[in-house]
Amino acid sequence: MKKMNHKNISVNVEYLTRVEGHGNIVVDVTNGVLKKCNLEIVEAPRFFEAMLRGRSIFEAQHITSRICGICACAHTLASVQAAEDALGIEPTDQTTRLRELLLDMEILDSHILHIYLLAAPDLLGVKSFVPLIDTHPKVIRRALRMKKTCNDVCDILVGRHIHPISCIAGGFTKLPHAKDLESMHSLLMGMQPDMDATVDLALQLKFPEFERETEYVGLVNDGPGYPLLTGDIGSSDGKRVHKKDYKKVTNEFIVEHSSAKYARLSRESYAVGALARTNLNFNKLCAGAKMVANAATYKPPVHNPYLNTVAQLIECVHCLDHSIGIIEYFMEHGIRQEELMLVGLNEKHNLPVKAGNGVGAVEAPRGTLYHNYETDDQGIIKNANCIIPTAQNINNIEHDMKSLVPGILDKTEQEITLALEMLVRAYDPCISCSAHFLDVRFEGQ
Amino acid sequence: MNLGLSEEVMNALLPAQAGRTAYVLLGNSLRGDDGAGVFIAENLPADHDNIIIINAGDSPDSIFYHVLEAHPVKTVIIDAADFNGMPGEVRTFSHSRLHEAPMSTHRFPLKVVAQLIEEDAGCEVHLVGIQIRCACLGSPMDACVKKSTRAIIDCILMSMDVT
Repeated sequence: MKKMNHKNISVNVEYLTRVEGHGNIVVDVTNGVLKKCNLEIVEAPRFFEAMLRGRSIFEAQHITSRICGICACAHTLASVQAAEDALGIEPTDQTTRLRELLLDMEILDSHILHIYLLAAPDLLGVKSFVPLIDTHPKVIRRALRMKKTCNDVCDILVGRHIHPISCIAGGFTKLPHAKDLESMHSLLMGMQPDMDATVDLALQLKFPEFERETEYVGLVNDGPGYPLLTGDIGSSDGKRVHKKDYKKVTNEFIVEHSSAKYARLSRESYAVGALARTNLNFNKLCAGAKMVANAATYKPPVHNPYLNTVAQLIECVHCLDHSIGIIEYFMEHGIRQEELMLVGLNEKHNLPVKAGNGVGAVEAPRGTLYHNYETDDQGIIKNANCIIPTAQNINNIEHDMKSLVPGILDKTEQEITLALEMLVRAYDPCISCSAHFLDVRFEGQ
Repeated sequence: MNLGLSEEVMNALLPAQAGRTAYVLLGNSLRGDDGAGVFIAENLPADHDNIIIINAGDSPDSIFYHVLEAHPVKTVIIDAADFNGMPGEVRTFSHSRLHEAPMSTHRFPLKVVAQLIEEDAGCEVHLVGIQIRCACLGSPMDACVKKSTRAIIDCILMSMDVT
């Protein structure tokens, strides 16, 4: 295997798969010195905010759920939160619990896919998930079985396995009945053996050793629960702001080499996602999740971004436990069917409408997601702003890369490339939902 | 009735003589010719005798267990494709000939799903591809592609004896 030329490196490595969207990693080492190390995002804007202008705030969640097929529920929830905030509507306790259940399912679904499809192949030393069909036949079927369970629960809860239709501003247009609760409970209890097997598998994986301390950002609250749906925005550097002030957190800025905006807070960059959440709120995880963390010797604060996959595993255990708890609560207390709402576009003025400016902030699988709508007195959206987690993470990934590369220049081209690919993949970035490839290119003189 | 489909394609499309046949239709109707499979699904009656129609949209991974639960003896997966043919040309091929598509949490390779169905359902799996002209967001379906989807719909309807 050829070793890297430390003084002048010029290598082109054709595409990295298992990343959503189109971006390039460009590394330039000259005379053994790192001159450039960029994550270039070259996706075109998708103009969802422009699509929202002129539309009713009561249909915003149906439009924005299409931003992403994996985070459709999180977009829906951020959207209805923003709408309710703008309209001055306070969701009921039942609505909040059911929304938490929906978000649990999405995080579980997304994390399972990332652990099995994207991370495991690297850590098992195979090129992709496909060879695992022959070498690990039970693994692939387990992943699909777990995904199906999440999809089936979403189907029962919100009418579709993706792009929910019954979750609206103010509540739900369809509420589960006793038999639905039993079905969901049975499905999730049936998932437990697969979750145990997933933990066993993931605990065998070996992750690269690399640390870079950064600022971790996510929802925080003063209550006992692990905050995924509600709370203020907090950071590991001690910042805490109300979600209305999300722009004081994101501080978006642009760079020449990327079509995506960058974000920073107290430092040069910050991270959102499972690693950030577990760093901020570890004590609020369920006991089973903490046991898995202990077995993985995962002790926050964790500064190794590769361990985001372990953080996702921990959250999977938490979300499964938490979702079963929500369903059992409703099995015991019942669902108040009188809370069912049929609003449509509010043609019958079921909900009071006023001009407003509302913000929704929820923890999507990849991190904190913001929706902000400004509406007129008819509930028509005048301005919209959506900030997705990956847009906040890109700057941090780039700083991770800059910190990682100098320490591995003695590695082969292949090893450096794999380390960079795995680093990017560890964040499970959703660069865009119109995906192509990520090229890794080393430049030299 | 001459549908303009090759004998090989007809054989792939026609349901099994005994036992259940599952038709899995794939595509994204927002992307022009890519919506061919979904268009076919939307123009077929719901499940009929031993025929199961599964509109999988653009997420083939979600239908794996649905197909298994149907216990088919034959599965026909129909999707838009680009095999450098003439727009609207219909071909059948083995999943082993599919490239290993790029994978992310947002996409699951059809090759894997087809192989798993074949192994776990123990049934024959046929892939039927319709050559696209344009799969751009918001573009209309090409006339040649639409003509082929009509031929496939008629072929399946004839086998259902509901024409």
